[in-house]
Amino acid sequence: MISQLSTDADELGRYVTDALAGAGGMELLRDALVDPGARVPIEKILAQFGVWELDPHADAAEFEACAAVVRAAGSLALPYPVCERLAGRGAGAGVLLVAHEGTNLAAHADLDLDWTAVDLLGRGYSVARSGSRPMQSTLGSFVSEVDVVAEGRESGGDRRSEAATLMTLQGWWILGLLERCVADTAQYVQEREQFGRRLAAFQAVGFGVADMSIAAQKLEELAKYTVWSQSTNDAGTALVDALTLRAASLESAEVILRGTHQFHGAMGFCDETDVSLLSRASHLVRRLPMGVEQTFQRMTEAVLGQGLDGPFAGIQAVV
Amino acid sequence: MLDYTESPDLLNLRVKLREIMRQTIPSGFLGAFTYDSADLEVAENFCKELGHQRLLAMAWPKEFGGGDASAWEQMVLREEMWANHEPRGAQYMGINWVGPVIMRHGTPEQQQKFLPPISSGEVIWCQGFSEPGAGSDLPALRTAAKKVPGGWTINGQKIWTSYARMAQWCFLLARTGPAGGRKSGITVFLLEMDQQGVEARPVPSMLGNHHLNEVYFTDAFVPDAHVLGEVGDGWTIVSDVLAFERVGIARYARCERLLTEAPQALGESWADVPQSLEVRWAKALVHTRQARLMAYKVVDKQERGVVDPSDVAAYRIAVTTLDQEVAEVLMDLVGQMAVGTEDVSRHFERAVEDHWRYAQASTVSSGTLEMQKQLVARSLVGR
Repeated sequence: MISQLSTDADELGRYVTDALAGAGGMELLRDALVDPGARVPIEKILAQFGVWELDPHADAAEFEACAAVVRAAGSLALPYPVCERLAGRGAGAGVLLVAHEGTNLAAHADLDLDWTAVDLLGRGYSVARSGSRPMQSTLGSFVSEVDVVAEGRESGGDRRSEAATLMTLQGWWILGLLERCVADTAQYVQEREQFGRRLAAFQAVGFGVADMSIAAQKLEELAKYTVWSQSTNDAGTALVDALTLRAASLESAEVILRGTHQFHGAMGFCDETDVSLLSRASHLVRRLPMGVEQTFQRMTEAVLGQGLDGPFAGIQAVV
Repeated sequence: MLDYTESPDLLNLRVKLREIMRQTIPSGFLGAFTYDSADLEVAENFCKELGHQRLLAMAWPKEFGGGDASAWEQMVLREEMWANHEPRGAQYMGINWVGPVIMRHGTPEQQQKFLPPISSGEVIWCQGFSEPGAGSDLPALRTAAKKVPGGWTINGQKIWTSYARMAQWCFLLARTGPAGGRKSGITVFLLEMDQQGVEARPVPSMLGNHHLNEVYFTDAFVPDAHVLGEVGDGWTIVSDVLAFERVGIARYARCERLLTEAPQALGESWADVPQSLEVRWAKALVHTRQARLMAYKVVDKQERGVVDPSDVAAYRIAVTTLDQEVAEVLMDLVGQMAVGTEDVSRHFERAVEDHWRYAQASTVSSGTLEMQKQLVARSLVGR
């Protein structure tokens, strides 16, 4: 077994990370928070790296490359629907993740893309209306309303593959964001001193950062497995696996972001601190289209129906 | 590129191991450490059968009775064994680390004497490490070895020694240097248990029979030929022991098996399981998958020659806390039979109760949760 991304994917991820840093890094998000229109040029920045030529639906190699790209994007909470565009089919297309027919809230739905939508179980929707501007909200920056109508089976209502692809990529996006939070927190507690000692010297702090790191590692391993599953398994299994990744990513986010805020103290609430902005941006995935418990509920229903693959799945009792 | 496909060799190994267990392990088996001596006999016979097929110490070199198996094959073996209540009984210890440490540090004579009985399933080892005053703080050990003609006399006490009353040999740490020397002045002795001067007493516990014992050494004797490595340099060997115990028990395998069996085992009464408990069950399955993948990460790196103790510690934290999480979910699922049942046809419920008791030790044995966290923390933020 191989549990490492391909060298090519790794290199692409590093390249995109460096290039985005050169293009402004976290300032890209700060600029967009002031002026949502600042999101639009990001599309061209990514185009320079050939990102829009990647197709996760094509083969395993391209899926891994997409995963590495969105991980890099997530580490900056890049204010552009990278996952949604990569998961969409066709140039200029994007697919949103929604909860149900009717009105939903979705990030970046106001951007001028050829939008469709899917829900967590792979039902397809057409977009009847999308908001013209994002709402004014601290935790909902770039979010707008979108009205969706269920597609009939004859017009492609079963879009499990797109739903699974989108959820998998969003899992990698949030992984990048959470890994950045762990790294920033580890650095902060080594620099900040109180009571004559670095915060890192206090055992409770070290243990807390360890818990955050382990949550990120568990998520990373699951994210890799889920990418492999998308290119290997049937649509039903791939969707269940993507659902498990989504649910696990929301669970990891709670642990890591709670720790991030706790160990940064008041600095972690200030907009000049990157983790404050990363925390705010995380809600675009953590809450939309539904939160952790509802997501686990959907996942449970899928697992009860489909099972969850493993060496002992469906084993008849040996002893 | 990523690839989690099990090769045909690994799949065939699983099939082979399951077939051997089907033929040699009776239904209802819940491990060797019950109060029924027949279960111990089952484990001993099973080990001999595995040894005969060179599957017991499969990752060992062939010259020592092994099968030159890969780290992945060894992983499959660990998973299949733990998922089926460890039918190797106490012998996994000799295979997993005692033998490998003797291969690494032993003299040719020691290798010839000690390794073949382990690989053929004919000997049980116990680990003489912890003492009443030296648990997590193992360097505080006080059991002393004094030089005498031809060997050493050992005086002191060990505690929590699993399988001490059934073991033929003890991998013993004793102090040959001055008292209070911490890591300096510790020596590893290969001590024969069946001798005057060695007394093993059971410590009754919730874990089950044989798991915990105390061992008293009163002028017990170890010949010079059974000193492992250099006198006074035992801590170097201890570090190797910890490295060889790396991935340890595949706890996630039994978790996965029991969780997966639960709906079928409960049958119609699954309909009465509250939704919240169903969700906990599904969450536990996800966490089980994550723990398994953390193990695979360590094995993958091992195969590539990369060893990172913090990776291992992270995995151990994930899998030991998983063990306890799953134990609670399963106990909730089986309802009142969580306290036990004498109805042996209720194999699933009895397995769940057994799992819960043993899972309580998960975050304590082989390095506590806190020790593992300390290791991870230091790798991230230093001391």
